[in-house]
Amino acid sequence: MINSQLFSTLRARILLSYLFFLSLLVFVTFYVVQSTTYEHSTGQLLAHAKASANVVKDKIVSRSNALQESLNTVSKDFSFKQLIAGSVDDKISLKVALQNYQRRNDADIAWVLSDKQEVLASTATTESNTLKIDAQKFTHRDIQLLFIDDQFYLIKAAPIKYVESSRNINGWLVMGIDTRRLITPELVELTDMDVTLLRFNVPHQIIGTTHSTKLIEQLTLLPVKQEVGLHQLNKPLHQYLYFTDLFAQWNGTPIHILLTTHEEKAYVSYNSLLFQLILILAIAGIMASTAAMFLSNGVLSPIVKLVAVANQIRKGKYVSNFPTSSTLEVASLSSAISAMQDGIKSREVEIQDLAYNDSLTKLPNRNRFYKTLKEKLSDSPAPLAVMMLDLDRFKDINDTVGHEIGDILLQDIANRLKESATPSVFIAHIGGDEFGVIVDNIKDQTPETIANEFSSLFDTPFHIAQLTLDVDVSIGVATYPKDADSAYGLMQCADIALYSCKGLHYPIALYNPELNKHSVQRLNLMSELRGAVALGQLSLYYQPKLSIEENRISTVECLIRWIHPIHGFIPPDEFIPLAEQTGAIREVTHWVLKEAFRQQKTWKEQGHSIGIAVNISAIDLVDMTLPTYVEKLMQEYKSSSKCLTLEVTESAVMSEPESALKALNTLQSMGITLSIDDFGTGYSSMAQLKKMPVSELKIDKAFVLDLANNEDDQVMVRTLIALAQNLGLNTVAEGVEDSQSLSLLTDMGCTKAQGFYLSRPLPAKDFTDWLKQYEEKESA
Amino acid sequence: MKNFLAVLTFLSVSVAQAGALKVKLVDNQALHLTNAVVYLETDEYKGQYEGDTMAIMDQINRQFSPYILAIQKGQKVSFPNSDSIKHHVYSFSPTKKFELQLFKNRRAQSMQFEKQGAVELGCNIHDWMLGYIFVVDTPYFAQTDKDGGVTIDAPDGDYTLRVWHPRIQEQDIEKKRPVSISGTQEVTIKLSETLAPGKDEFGGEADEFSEYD
Repeated sequence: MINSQLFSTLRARILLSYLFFLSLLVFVTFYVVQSTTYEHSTGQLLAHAKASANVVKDKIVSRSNALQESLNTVSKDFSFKQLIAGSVDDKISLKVALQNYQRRNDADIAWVLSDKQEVLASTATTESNTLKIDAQKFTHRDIQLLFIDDQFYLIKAAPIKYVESSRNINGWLVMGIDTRRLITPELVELTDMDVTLLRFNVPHQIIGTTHSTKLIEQLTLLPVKQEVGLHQLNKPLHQYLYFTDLFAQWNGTPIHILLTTHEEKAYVSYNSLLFQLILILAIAGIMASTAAMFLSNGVLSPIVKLVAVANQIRKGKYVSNFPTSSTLEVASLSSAISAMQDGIKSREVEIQDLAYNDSLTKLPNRNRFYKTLKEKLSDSPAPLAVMMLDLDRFKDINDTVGHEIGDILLQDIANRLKESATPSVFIAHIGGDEFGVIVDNIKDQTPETIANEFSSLFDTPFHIAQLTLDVDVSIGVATYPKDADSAYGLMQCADIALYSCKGLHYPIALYNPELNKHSVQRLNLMSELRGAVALGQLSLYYQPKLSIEENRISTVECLIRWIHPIHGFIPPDEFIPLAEQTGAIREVTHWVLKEAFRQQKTWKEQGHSIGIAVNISAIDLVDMTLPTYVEKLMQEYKSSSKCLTLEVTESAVMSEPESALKALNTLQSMGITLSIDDFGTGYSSMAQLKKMPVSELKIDKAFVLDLANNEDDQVMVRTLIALAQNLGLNTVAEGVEDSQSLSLLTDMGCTKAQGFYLSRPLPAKDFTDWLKQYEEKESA
Repeated sequence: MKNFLAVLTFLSVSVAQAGALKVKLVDNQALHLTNAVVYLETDEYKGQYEGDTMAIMDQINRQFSPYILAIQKGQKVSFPNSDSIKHHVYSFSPTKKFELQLFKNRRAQSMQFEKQGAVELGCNIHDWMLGYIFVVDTPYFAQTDKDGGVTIDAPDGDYTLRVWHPRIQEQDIEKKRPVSISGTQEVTIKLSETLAPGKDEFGGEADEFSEYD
């Protein structure tokens, strides 16, 4: 992997291709030069060997001729002739004289023969005296050899004539030189080669050599057939080269001259030439590599710079200095990258525009708002205010006059906001009907003042297409550094404040941490509620309802409790709305119903006949599975529908009146008692109330808590009870805290009472105990 | 040449009453051979030369003169030196071995040749010098002239005719030709073998030997 990366760089490739071609060149040159030089050296060696062979032959022939001349002279010597003529009588004198002449001529063997070729005198051994020597043959100028006593001799002869001018030959003087002595160290000096005379035979006969014994052995094993020319010795002496040439004949077999030399010596000039060549090529290689390096650097360094530039562009930094290059391709690459950067720049402006501006109102969008806020926070620590503006009932406007007008309205609002803006104000269109405002440096102004200023912008109606639109706005305000110190935190705080004012129907709300706590918990609870059912964190508390006429506990309201492992007790009015939002309310209601039935059955078994009252939400009413489920539970727990009361809030029925009525009718037809919870706080219309199939009204505790002291409440409660009685409905008073209130309610004709005066909501076991005590007390 | 003619004159006078043999010597290629010794052998005459004529083998102009000297067995030969330089004449021939130091202006030395046969003469100082003394055992001998002809005077009778010359090969030298002389007769001797090479042809110095073969 590293290798492939290494070789994929341009520099490496240029270098590699340079090296490749250079190596190719080197090898071709090397091969050609080597082969020609080798051939040349071989040719030179061959020529040298031939010349040397000729020198050796010439030397030997010279020696032979010198001997011949000397013999010619001796043969004319008068006293020698006298000795020969007198040899019949005096052989000894002749032999001694012959020895003398032999010594003078530096010969190794000598004879005097008669005209009949009989030996008259000899310096040789006895054996050779019997030899028949054809003396005439040895007078020729060529090389003649004799093999005597296991030794070759170069033989020369001269005729002896008693009278020089005579035709008659009277005898012969014959002399020989040991061939071993012909091959002298002088020849080695002259030829610079080792010289051997050799008769090819099996084994070869070494006639004379300048070699050491080691090589001689090898020489005797040479191939029998030898052509004149250059050869190589066999292993292990293969480093020796030898040259053969014909030297003479003996007994019809040829005698060869053999010139030997060591390979290293023979090719010494060739080797030094090769060394020089390698040196030249190595230098050329280094120079070429350096050139390649320079060349690649010339191309590459601008490319490397361009890579750095491209990386800068990638990081979003714009570069003004583009590397220049004399290489056309690199220069055009550089200008292309420059053009690319310009393109990116202009598109980035467009994208930024799109990314940070709202296309409808041309105001900065939420992203830009966030970014700007963040920048402002990091720039200065001066206090600032973040406001979220949300149009009230914008959906209604849209639905009523159409989206087109709605859009124009948003544009007009944006324009009005822009017109009002001072340099210290930043306005953004957060989305939909929501606008965001940042007000810098609010030291001398309270957030309320600023918010009121913006709120007052909406006092004047908007005139769009001959319509006059009155628009109200809710404003949530958060301030830095009081509420949060991050952009996100401030926006969230403003949002929370906005929601709170929406809920409370205030035009302006300032953020306070309570809102946040609530909101954060809410977010968590949403996700945890479903798990709570399964984990058994939910439980039911029971609060008794006293049937005033009978003076007995006829019914118990089942109130859900969530004991959270971290947050502890969570009031139902906190998590029930959540459950309604997430849809988890159905499961919660089902669980409550089941638990209530189960508990009712328990009590029944203990001898307490008590009706159960369970709160259901608007969602439960819409969900038509509720009647079926209740039916199923009643069968399961063998309960009667008369023992079940379902409490529904006014608002639950009001939000979806039709489906709510349908569900209520079904439930009523099943014989279930239906009760309107918190009666008196909502906007229930009497007409609706009349239609509803309820049989009970629960008077909100707001009217009951202070009933004993507050005469207005007494009037209100008395009126409500009277109303219910007129409609044929029972009444339940919540929040009964003292006996005075109870006696008042009794007087007023209220059907049931519920409250701390009787008991606060209790867990099942406590409630059972309380019930026992109460019944005992009453019966007593 | 003058002496040589004198000898012939003397011979012809001394045996005038008898017959004569005219011999013509040709080689196998019909060429004449000069200076060849032709002689007639007979059993009737044997013995030493009885005359007192001294034969002469002179040294003239660094040459033996004559080239071939034919003498009768027992005859003496004188070796004068007509040159102004020293000669050292010798012979290793079995017929007569000798050695003579011949100084100029000294009295000529002489010696007798007792054996029949050829004596090859050389000079130890001058290698080119070559001469022959051919000793015959008969009084009837002569040497051919430049035409190869020779006349031998001899009494009528039966003889054996023989020839000798250094160039004549051994077979012809050994050959004995019987002849009968009755008055004057003519005989042609035709040599069966080719002559040995002349002096020029075996490496002698031409100018020294031009006058004889």
